[in-house]
Amino acid sequence: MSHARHAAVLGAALAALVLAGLVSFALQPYGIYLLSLWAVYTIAATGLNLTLGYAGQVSLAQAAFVGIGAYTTALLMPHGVPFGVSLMLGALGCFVLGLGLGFPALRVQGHYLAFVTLALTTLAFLVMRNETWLTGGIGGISNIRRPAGFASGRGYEFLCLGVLACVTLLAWWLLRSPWGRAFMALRENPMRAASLGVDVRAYTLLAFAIGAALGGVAGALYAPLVQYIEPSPFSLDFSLALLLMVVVGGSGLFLGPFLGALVAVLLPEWLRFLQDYYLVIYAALVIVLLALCPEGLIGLAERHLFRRKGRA
Amino acid sequence: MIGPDAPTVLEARDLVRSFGAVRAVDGISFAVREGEILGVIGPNGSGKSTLFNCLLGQLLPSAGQVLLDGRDVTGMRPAALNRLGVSRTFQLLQVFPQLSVRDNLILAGQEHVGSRIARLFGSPDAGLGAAADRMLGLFRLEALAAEMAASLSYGQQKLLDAAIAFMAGPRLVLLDEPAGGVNPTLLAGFRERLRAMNTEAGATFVVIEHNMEFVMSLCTRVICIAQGKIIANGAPAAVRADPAVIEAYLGD
Amino acid sequence: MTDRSPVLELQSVVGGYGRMTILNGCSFAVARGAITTVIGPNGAGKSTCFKAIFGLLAVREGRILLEGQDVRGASPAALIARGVTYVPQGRNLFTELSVRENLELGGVALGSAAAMRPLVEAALDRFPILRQKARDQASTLSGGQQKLLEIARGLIAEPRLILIDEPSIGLSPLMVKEVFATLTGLRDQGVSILMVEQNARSALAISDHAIVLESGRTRLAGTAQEILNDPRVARLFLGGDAGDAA
Repeated sequence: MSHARHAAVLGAALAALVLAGLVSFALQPYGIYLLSLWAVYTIAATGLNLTLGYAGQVSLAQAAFVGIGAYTTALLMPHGVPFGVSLMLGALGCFVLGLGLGFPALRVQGHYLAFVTLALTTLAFLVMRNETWLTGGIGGISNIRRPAGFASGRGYEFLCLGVLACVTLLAWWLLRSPWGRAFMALRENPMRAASLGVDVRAYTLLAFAIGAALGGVAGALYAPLVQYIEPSPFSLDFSLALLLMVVVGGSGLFLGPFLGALVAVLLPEWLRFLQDYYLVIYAALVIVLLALCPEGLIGLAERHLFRRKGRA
Repeated sequence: MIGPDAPTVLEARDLVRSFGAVRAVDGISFAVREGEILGVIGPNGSGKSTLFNCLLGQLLPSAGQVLLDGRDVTGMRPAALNRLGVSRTFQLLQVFPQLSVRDNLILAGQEHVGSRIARLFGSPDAGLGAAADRMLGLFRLEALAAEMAASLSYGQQKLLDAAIAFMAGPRLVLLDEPAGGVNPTLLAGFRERLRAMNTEAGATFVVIEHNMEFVMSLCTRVICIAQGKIIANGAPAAVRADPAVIEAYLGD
Repeated sequence: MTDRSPVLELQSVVGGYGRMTILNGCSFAVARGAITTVIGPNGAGKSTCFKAIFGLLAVREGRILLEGQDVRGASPAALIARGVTYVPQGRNLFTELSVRENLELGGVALGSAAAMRPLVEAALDRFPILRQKARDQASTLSGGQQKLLEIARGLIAEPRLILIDEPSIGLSPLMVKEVFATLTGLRDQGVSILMVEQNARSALAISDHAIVLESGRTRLAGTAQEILNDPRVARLFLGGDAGDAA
């Protein structure tokens, strides 16, 4: 991608954040909550997009990392650990776990790897549900306080948007650096990459670890947003939902998660009148989208916006 | 000419690689001296590509040794060998289809520049912009720099594949059928570039190729492999005239 | 009286991939019962041209006439039914299946297994090496044998026109001779062959006609001898000294 395209992509992402901030002044508390949720989902999906979309490593473990981030914050903050520190610790824990999860990826790929990562999600879910002494089990953890100064709905939304802005800058920098190119090389042709001196092992582990850490950051924001957590939001269903956000938005495209998360947050609201049929309609829309444009919504938009003629 | 005292760069000692009961490489020994352009010919399925894969760490040999500058590198990982200055091309196209031509080249050089951490904070093209431009020019791919590699024709991808192998300035390059599918005129230019890199930069090449015109006009020495064994080894003209080579490979 | 009308004719064909135009008004005719070879620089649109003929690429303008009828937009299955076969570049076998199964897949369009059996047998008769290995996995064949199997598979549908893209890539000189001998044998039985080949001198030696394609247009057309002896062609496309714009 050219420098101009890179800059335009970052500009669009940051403009979306500013817009989200401005729009909140016209919204009711529930709308503000949805925007905050969008920011949280976008962070988690950006992490998965790095692992899956750019580095080509299938992962169904992202929900587990969001859960670990959420529980870390919920457990540490009552002991006087500041929010920022518990967010960092959650992200660090996920980074280390992600490194560990990367090892199977050195041996298996594709659907086998999906199964390994699925196992981690299930394992994390079982720990959250059964280790009552630590996690409160199905009763969960309630009264999670928001950090001082960000207690109001809009205040916390700005915090979420601020963290998303940092994540955006970080991911953008990373992906346009030589690391980003190495990640894409893993996806495109790992054997050839190895013959060019790319340490496939190190980059595979890093792709998992960094993606996982962003999942942890999203979780850390999620707990104080909803102020009550229990295991069910972090089950396999949520991993699949995050996968869908990446794919619907546009896998391997920087803005994909932004749009994918927006669809995931808004569509259930718009289709609420359909009640139980909502999922059927959602599924049908996804199938139609992917049949028409496998590159997702961003791919669809690019096809129309950047139509070039002939060969350069 | 390569003097007899030129140091040995690459050496294979009694290399064997079996797949089940089949010995694809069956006791091959040879040495490549610095500055040589060694041609490797032989029938399809005679073990040439398997030999390359054993030399380059893609496959672990069943027996025998590979030495680089006299040092045992048997089974060393491809990435580590590459960082020692050994590069290769592949028989079937191996580029990065969804990266631009330019990014393909930068990727091929970036792991040789500085430390991984320094690369993260350095410039996006790892300071390789000028080097990539030079390579684009050498292989006449300038006009396609911004295109996805997947959108190139077969012959163009073949050139890109070769350009990738030369990007990091390797001193030993193993080329697996570089001429297949490349237009004869372009191929003549490619041959001259290989020759220039050989004489000017002192790079050593091992070339698997079926295009005999290309082999005869480029290589300083040729070995012929049939059924996993070397059946001829010597000056190009002598190997071409060898009755065993004509029988197994050239036909009459 | 032999039929002198072309088996295939392209008239000002324009097409490409997505937003990229490769064929810029490509026109030529393919003679019946002859070998016609297309040469030209890399990226000239040779393979793209084959894909356009075989319905694998959307043609934006122009006509593709098979036996005088416009087949532009016809599906590959429809073209096979009308006697066209396409042997693409590279290795395109079902490597986990046996040689015989690969041949049978060449006759899927025929519908019935009974109609197919004699054709598979005929193919195995034509290529004794394939009969020897009929039960073996295709992946165990050498590169040259795999190319022969691909050609044999294409012949199951009894084509009148074969489109073959760079058959000599990766083949030893001995195997190239065998593949080319197979093609001339088919030509002598009345099959029309359109071939793309970068190994241009050897290919032109067995060809009747030749077409030079450049930048998606027909630059020259004539008998293989004329093209082979044309000094400009020799300089630009057959390995002379001048450069070539990719």
